[in-house]
Amino acid sequence: MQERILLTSCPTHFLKSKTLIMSPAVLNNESSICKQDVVSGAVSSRMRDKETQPSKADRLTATLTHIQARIAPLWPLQDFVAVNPFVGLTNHCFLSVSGQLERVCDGTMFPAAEHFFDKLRANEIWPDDLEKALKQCSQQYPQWYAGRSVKRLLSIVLLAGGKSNHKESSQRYFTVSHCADRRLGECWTDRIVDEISKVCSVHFDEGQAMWPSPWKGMSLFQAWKQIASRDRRMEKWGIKKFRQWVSSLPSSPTEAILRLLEVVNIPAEHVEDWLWCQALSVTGWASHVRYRTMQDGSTGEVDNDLISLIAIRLAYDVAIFQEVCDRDEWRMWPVDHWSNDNGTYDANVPNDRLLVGHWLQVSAEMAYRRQLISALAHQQCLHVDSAEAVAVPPKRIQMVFCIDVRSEVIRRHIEAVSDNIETFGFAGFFGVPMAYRPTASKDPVSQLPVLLSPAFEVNEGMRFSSSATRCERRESWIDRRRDRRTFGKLIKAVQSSASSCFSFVEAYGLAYFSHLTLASIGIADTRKPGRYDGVRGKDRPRLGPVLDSVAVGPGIEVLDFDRKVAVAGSILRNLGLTSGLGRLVVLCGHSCQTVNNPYRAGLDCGACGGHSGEPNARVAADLLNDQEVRKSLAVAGIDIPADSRFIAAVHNTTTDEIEFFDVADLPQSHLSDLNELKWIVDQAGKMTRIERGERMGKISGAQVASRARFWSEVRPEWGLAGNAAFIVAPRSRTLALDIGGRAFMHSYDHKRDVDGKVLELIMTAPMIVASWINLQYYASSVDNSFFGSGNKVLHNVVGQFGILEGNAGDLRAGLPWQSVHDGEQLQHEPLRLSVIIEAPREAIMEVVENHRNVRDLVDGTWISLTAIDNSRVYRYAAGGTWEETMAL
Amino acid sequence: MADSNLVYVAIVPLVFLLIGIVPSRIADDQVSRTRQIAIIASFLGLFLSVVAMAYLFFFGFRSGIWFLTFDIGSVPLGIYFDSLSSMMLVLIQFIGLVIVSYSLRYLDGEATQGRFLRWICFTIGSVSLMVVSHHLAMFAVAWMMTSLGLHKLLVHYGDRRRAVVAARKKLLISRLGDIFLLFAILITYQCFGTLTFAEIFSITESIRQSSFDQPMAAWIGPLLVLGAMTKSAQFPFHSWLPDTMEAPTPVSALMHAGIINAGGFLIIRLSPLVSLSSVSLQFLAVVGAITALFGAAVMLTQTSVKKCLAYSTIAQMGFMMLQCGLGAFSAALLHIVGHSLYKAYSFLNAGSVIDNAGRLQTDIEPVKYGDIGLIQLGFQQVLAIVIATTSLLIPIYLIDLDWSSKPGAAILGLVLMFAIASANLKAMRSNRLKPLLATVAGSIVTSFAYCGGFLVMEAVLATTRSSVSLQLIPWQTPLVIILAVVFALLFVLHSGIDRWRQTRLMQRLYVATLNGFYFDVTAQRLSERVWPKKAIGGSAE
Repeated sequence: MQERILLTSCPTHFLKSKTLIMSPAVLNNESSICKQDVVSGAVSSRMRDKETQPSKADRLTATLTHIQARIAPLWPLQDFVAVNPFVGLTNHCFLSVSGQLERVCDGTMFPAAEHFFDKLRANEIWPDDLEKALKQCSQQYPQWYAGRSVKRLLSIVLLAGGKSNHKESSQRYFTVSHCADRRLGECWTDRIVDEISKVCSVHFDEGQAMWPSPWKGMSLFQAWKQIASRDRRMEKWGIKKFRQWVSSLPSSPTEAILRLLEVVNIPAEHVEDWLWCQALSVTGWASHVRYRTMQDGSTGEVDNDLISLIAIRLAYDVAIFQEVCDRDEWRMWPVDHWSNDNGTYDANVPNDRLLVGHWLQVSAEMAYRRQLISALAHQQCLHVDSAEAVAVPPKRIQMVFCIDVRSEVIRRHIEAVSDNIETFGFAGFFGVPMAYRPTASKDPVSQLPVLLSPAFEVNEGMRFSSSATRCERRESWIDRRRDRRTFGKLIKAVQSSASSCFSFVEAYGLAYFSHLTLASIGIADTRKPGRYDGVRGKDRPRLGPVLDSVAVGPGIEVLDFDRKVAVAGSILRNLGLTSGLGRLVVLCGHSCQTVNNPYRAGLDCGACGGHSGEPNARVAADLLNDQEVRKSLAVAGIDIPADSRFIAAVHNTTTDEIEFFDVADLPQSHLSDLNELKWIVDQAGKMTRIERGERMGKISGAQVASRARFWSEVRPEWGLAGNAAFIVAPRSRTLALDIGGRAFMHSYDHKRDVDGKVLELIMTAPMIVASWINLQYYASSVDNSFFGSGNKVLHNVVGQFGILEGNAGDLRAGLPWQSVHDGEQLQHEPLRLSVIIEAPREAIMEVVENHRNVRDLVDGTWISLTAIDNSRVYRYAAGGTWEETMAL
Repeated sequence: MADSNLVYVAIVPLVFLLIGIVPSRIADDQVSRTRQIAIIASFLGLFLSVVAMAYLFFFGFRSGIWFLTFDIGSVPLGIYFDSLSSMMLVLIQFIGLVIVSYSLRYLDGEATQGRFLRWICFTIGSVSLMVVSHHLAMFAVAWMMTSLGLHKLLVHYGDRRRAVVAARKKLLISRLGDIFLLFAILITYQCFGTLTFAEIFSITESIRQSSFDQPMAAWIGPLLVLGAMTKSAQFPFHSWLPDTMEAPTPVSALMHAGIINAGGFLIIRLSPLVSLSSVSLQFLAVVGAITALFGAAVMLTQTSVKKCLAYSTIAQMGFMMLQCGLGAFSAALLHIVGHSLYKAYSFLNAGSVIDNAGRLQTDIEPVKYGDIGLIQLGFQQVLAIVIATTSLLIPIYLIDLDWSSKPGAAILGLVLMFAIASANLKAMRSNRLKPLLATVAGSIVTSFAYCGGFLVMEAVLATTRSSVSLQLIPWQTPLVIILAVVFALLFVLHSGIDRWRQTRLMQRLYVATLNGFYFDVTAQRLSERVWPKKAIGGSAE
C-alpha cells in the first residue's frame, strides 16, 4: 500500500519505473499516512498479544520509526554512491539539525573557526560578506540573531581561543558505556562496537568467509541472540552470566527494547533522543542496515533489522549498567547530567558557538556566490542573449556530457580547441532507466540513480548486424567465459582452503615475484577485470548492450518498440534538442580507472548507480540511430535530420581520454567528422591533464594519467572534491568560463521548455542527486572522523561490501580523508550547493511549492537557490520570497 | 674463509640502519629528501645483494661459506655469508624495495611520512643484519632491534587506542621470546665457550662423531624453539598478530612477509644446535601442526580481508615450523620464500578484493555436496586420489628424486597429494569439462613446480653448514598420533562446514572459532596487568 502512495508523488517522467525504492517522503517520514500505517499495524498485533501496556508499546514503535528515518543509508562498495548524511533530517533547517546532532553525538556540522580566519586573511571572504551574511541570518532567524553585531560575534570566537573547540561538549545524551568509560578508564564502548561489528559482519557477509554463519537466514536480532548466547567474550571481560541473560531476552526486538528501557529508567521525554544516541554510536552499521531494510522492503515493518540493531546496542548498554554501575551511586545515569541543568538548558536554542559557525559558513558561501555570479553576469555582455538571437545554426559536432563536475573542465577545453563543436550537460544515465546484465553473471547491475529502480533490462552480447552470426558465436564465447571464471574460482578456492593452501604457497609462491614487480612499476590490467573474459581480441569492440534481447526470466521487462520511442523522445525533449541537431552527436558517459581501490564505484558515474556510463550511452545511441524509432518520433513532432548520427563514448575521468564505441556502425560519410573529433578530444585531454596536474601538486600531465595504474595510489583523481554549484542554464551562459571544475552543469533553455516539465524534472532529480553529493563531501570534509571513513591506509574491506578502519570498530560510511584533503589543505571546500537556475521565478516557485522535498531543501538552507530571470539575479529567501541581489 | 670480495655485503644493512637512526622530527621536516634517500637505499640494497648472490653462485657454491670479521675493541662484528644468508638477504631486500616504493605513494601527504620511512628502513636494516650476522650476540641484538622497529611502526598512529593495545601485547610476547633467546645464548656460551657461528658449527659437527658430556646443552634446543615460537606467532604466542591492522598496510605486508620468518630462519640457521635435543624438534613439529590447524580453522570464519590474511599467516607459519620439526629444512625454506612473496602481494593488493570477487561471479553454481550420490562421491574421490598420485609420481620418476632419504618427505608428500586431490574434487563438482582438464594439467604443473622449488632450496642449503642431515626421526607413537589427528581434522574441516553446519556442535564451534578461541582476551588481560588503566574519577564530564 505504501508503494502506491509513493508513486503518485513522483514526476511523470519516471512513472515508467516499476516502483520507487524509496521516496524522500519515506525518508523524512513526513507522510502522515505512512506513519499511520506503521502504527496501526503495530497496534493491532500488540492488541492480540499483550493487554498490559498498549500505549507504551505503540509510542515506542512510533519513536523507533522516527529514529529509523533519521539514519542515512549506506550502499555497499560495489555500488557506492554519495549519500546525503542528513537525509531524513532535511525537514528541519540546517542550523537546528546541527544543534540536534551535537546533542546526541560528537559529530559537528560546521568547520572550525580557524578555517574561516584563513579565508579572511586570504581575502576570499570580504568584511562586506560578513555584514551581508549577518543580515541574512537575522532575517531568517530573528529570534537568535537579533541585536548581534559582527564585532560581537567575532569576539565570541576569539574569546574561546579561536581554535577548534568544536568538540567541546554540547553533547547531552551519552550511552551508559561511554559514561562507564569516563568513570572507570575502561574501554567498554570500543568492546561493544567490536562485538556488534563482529555479529553484523558475519550476518551480512557477502562471501569473504568460507565458513558462513549458521544463522544467516534469521533476523538480525535472533541471529545476535544465537551468537551472543554462545559467546564468552563479554563474560571474560567481566560481565557475569551474560550468555544466560541474552537467552532470557524476548525474541522480538521491540519488546526487548521496552524491557531494557525499564531497567535504565529513562524519562519518557528523553527516550527518543537517547535511543537515537544509541543508534548513532554504531552509526556505520546502522546506515548499512538501513540500506538493507530499504532493499528488502522491511522499512515499515515492526521488527526489522534496524530496530534489531538498536535493541542489540541497548542490550549491551544495559548489561554494562547492571554489572558495572554501582546501583546506589549511578542509578540516575545517564540521566543525571541533564537533570542537573537548573533549567538553563533549552534544547531548541542553538548555542553561541553554533550561531557563530553558521554565520561564518553563510558568509563563506556568499563570498563564493559573489565570485561565481559576477562571472556569470559578465558573460551577458560577451554573448548574445538568446531571446534576440537570429536562429543560430547548430554546430556540426555536438557532445552531451554528464552533469558531473569533472566534465566542466574537459568541456571547456574541447570548446576552446575547435569552433565546430558545442557541448551539453545532461544526466549521466541519459534518461535510460535500465538494468544491465553482463553475460554469464548472476545479477544485473542497475544503471540509474539509486533513488529509482530500473524499468527494463538489457543483456550484454556481441553486436553483429546479422542475428544469425550472433547466435552461433554466442554459444562459444559464453562457454569460454563460464569456463574461465569457473577455473578462476577453483584457483581462489585452492588458495584459501585449509587442505590446499600450504601446498599452493610452496608450489606457486615464487611466481608472485613477477606479480609484485609488475604491480610496483605500474603495469597492471586496469580495465574492469574480467570484462573481456572469453572474448577474442578482434571481437572486443563488438561486446556491448544488445537491444533486441530476450527476457531472461519471468517478470523482467525488455525494451519493446513503444518503450523505445518513449525513451528516445524523452531524451531529446529533456535535452532541449528536439530541433537543431548537428551532424554528429556524441553521448558521452564517464567512468574512472584505478587499481586496488575499494572506492572505485564512488569515482564512477553516480547517476548510473556507481557504475560506468558506457551501457547507457550505447543504448541511447542505438535508440536514436534506429530508423524505425526516428520515423515514430517524426510523427510525434521531433524531427531528427537524416544525416544526424549518434555515437556513444566514455570519458575516462582519471586519464581524461575519451573512447568511442561502435565506430564500425558509422557510415562512411561521417568518418571524417569522427576523425576530427578524435583529434579534438585528444588535444583537449592534454590540456585538461595539465590543468588537473596543477591541482595535484604541480605534476605533469603524463603523471596525472599514470596515477590510474599504480596499486599504491590513494588519490587517483580528485573526483567530485571541490563541488560547490549547480548551474541550470544554456551553455551560452557558462561558455569559456573557468569554474575550476566545481560546478554541476545541466543544459536548460527555458524558452524551449514551455510547460516547465523539464525544469521540474531537473529540480526533482539531478538537483537532488547533486545535493546528496555536495552534502556528503561537506560532511566528510568538516568532520571526517564522524561522517567520513577515516584514513585510507588503514582501510580493511569487510564482508566484501564495507570498510573497517583498522582491526575492528564501527563500519565506516562516507568518504576517506584522502578524498578531500591533499595533506596540506582541504581540496574540498565545505560549501553547501549554490543552485543557479536561468528561468522565470514563477516556474521555479511552482516546482518548489509542488514538491515537498525540494521545498525542504531550499527552506532549510541545505542548498541555496538563485534565479537569473530576464537579466536580473534573485536569491530565494526562506518563506517563498525572492530578493534581488544584483542587476546585470 | 674470509673473502674481501664480499665486503660490500656489509653496506646493505648499514645503509638502512643509518637512515633508521635519523631523528623522526628531521625525517618529517625533510620528507622529500627522506623519500629520495629511502628509495635509493632500497635499490642499492637489492642490487648489492643480488650481486653477492651471483658471486656466491658462480664462485662459491663449492667452497660454501664466506665470512668477514672485524673486532672493534672487543665487540665482535662480522658477516657470515653463505647461500642461506644470501637467499634471505635477497628476499628481504626485494620485499623492502617493493614496500618502500609502495609507501612513497601510499602515504603521500601524511604529515608523518618521513617518520614512517625512517622506521621502515630501520626494520629492514635490522632484519638484514640478523640474516648476515656471524655471532650469536649480534644475532640477538639484531633480533631485538627488529622488535623495536616493528613496535614503532605499529604505534605509528599513536593516538589510536587499539594500535597501542596491540603493540603492547606484542611487546610482552616479544620480550618473553627475547628472554628465551638470551638464556639459550648463555647456555651455549657456557657449553661451547664461543658464540661465533663458524666455531659453533665446527663443534657440533665434531659432536656427531663423539658424544657430548654437557647435560645443559640439551636445554639449548627447547629454548631456541620457544624463542622462535614467539617470533613466528606460533600457538599459544600467536595472539599479537591478528590485532596489528591498526598500522598502515605496508607495515602489515612487511611484518607478514619479512619479519615473521625470523623464527623459521632461527631454527634453520641454528639447526645444528637445535637438533642436539631431538625432543625439541618433535615438540616443534607438534606445535607447528596445531598452529596450522588452528590458523586454518579460524581463517575460515573471518569476514574482513586483513584478518583473514593474518590467520592465514599463522597457519602457514605453523606449517613451516612443522616442516622444520620434521627436519625438512629445504621445504621450510621454500615455504618461507614462497609465503613471503605471496603474502606481501596479498596484503598490498588487499583493496582489490571486491573487484576480484565481482570478476569471478558466474550464473552457474557448482553441484552441492548433498546432491551427489554416495557412489558417485566415492568414485570421484577415488579418481581424485588417482590423479593426485599420478601427478606426484611423474616428476619423481622423471627427475629421479630419491624421496625416501629426505626427512619428512612422506608426510609432506601426503599433504601435497591431498591438496591436489581436493582441487580435483572441486573441479569435478563444478560440472564443467574444460576447468577439470585444466585442473588435471595444473596438478602436473603443480607437482613439477613443487619438486623444482624443493630441489633449488635443497641445493641452497646443501652448501651451508646449517642444514643438518638428520637421521630420519625414529617415529614415536605420540608424535605420529598427534600429527595424524591434526591432519585428519584439517582435511575434513571443509566437508564439516558444508555438511554439518547446522548441527549444535558445529554451531558452538563456530562461535568459538569466530572469536579465535578467546586467546586474545587472555593476552590483553595480561598486558593490562602491566599497563593498568587509569580511572578518571569524579563527575561524568
